[in-house]
Amino acid sequence: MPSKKDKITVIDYGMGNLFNVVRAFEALECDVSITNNYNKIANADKLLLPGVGAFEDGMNDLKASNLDNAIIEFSLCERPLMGICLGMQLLMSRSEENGNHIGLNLIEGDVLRFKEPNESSSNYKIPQIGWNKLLKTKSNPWAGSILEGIDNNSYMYFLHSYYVHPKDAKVVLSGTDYGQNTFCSVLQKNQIIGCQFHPERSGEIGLKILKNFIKL
Amino acid sequence: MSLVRIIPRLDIKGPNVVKGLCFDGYRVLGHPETFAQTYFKEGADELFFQDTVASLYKRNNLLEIIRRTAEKVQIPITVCGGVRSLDDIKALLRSGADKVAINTAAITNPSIIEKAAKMFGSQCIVASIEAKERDFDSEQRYKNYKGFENSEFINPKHGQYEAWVDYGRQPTGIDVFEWSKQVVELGAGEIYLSSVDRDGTGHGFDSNLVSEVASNSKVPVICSSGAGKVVHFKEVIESGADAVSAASIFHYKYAEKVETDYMSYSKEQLRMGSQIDSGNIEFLKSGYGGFEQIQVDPSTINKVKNYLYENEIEVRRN
Repeated sequence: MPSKKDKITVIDYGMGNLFNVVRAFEALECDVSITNNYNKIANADKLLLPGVGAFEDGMNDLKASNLDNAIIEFSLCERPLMGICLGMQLLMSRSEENGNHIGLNLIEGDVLRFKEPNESSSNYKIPQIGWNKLLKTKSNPWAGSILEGIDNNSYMYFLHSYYVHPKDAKVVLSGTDYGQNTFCSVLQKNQIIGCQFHPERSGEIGLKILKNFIKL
Repeated sequence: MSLVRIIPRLDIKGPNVVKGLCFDGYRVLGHPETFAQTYFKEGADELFFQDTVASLYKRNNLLEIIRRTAEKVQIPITVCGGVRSLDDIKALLRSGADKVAINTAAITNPSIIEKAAKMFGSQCIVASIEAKERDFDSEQRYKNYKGFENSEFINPKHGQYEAWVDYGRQPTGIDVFEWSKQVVELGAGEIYLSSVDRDGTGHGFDSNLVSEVASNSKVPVICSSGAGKVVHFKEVIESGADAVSAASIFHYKYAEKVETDYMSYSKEQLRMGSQIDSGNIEFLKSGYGGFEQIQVDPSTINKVKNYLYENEIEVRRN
């Protein structure tokens, strides 16, 4: 008997680039559905919140279709939810991007802008565009997490000006250094996961993270 | 210091990868997906696609190529050419582009950058700037670019750089340095800087141009046009490039030699793959329009990265 395909539901709220993450999951032989339907999101097996763009627009687009509540309803019973890039940031309590905006508050903490380069640390630019390393944090082992099987110092592809700062350091799985900034590049709290980089654009090693998500 | 990215550039005409000289006289080299997959496996950090005619003929045939390529490579793809509206950007992003670069439309209608950055985020909006050194002084103002009449950054002088549009076919009378600051104010998250004078020559990057734009830019600058030797990558990074884009030096390494009358001008005129058309034969027959000094010493992405690493420039290596 053929094994049942893993089902991934990707939230389509109008924020850009769904194609690559959908194709990546399809290549991993998942059954991917793209939707903005409340019930399909609230009742999904595994949920993916992608996104590029500004925090305020992202939240407004979610709210316009009541999808913020669909995601919160989904999260009430423990099921895997992954936010990528802006999707990760939307999981947080609030963001300082273009003012002060309220997020989904599934992870307590803030979204902050990189510190600007200054005289003592000038050799970086904002946004961060390019490859950077995932570094192990002291307290959290990667075995059994979304980063199972990923080597310390692995390169991932980042594209952002803001980063998440969770209140509880225990949810921070990996840190990444950028100029004078050290920020949380992967977070995991039970079944809720956030990646600041784009695993679907980070070569084979990025796909490994998506495979781990499927296995959750 | 953030890692320096190496970004192969694929110039697209119709279904093919082409390579020209000073944005003219294309030779057909093969199919984009073949090149893209090869460069992905070799360790390219991103890919840059330039549709060579989209802007000129107001059409966009790149969507299907991007769709097929993005399926096969898991690194970011930036697409330039033919973007005239927010809907065009959306269509490219939906096809698999990670970033969209804008040149002509940005100059005729600068607010497109502002609107696009607001809608899609600065990080995926790249300002493409095609620079050409002015070899004359002129008070001429270009009627096509009305928005700039009262701007202080029109009319670059002799020796300064002018922004060109429509893939190196149209001068604008707009000073590159000032324009490069303006696009960042408008919200571009990155600049893709090419040199019409150096494109395809292999003579090295224009260090004056690069240092003028890159060292004064708040956002990352990808520098293109002129890579002919491995050492050129180091030089352009020392001039301030945040990322380096190159075509001929990589294309000619992987393309295969094709024995035909019109391809025999140089022993290294090569192609990749078998499905090819003729390219610009007239241009080749006339000896590349009188330009005979193409100085490209083909190399691989790996060799370039190893060389940079040995010279203490941080790169991502496999």
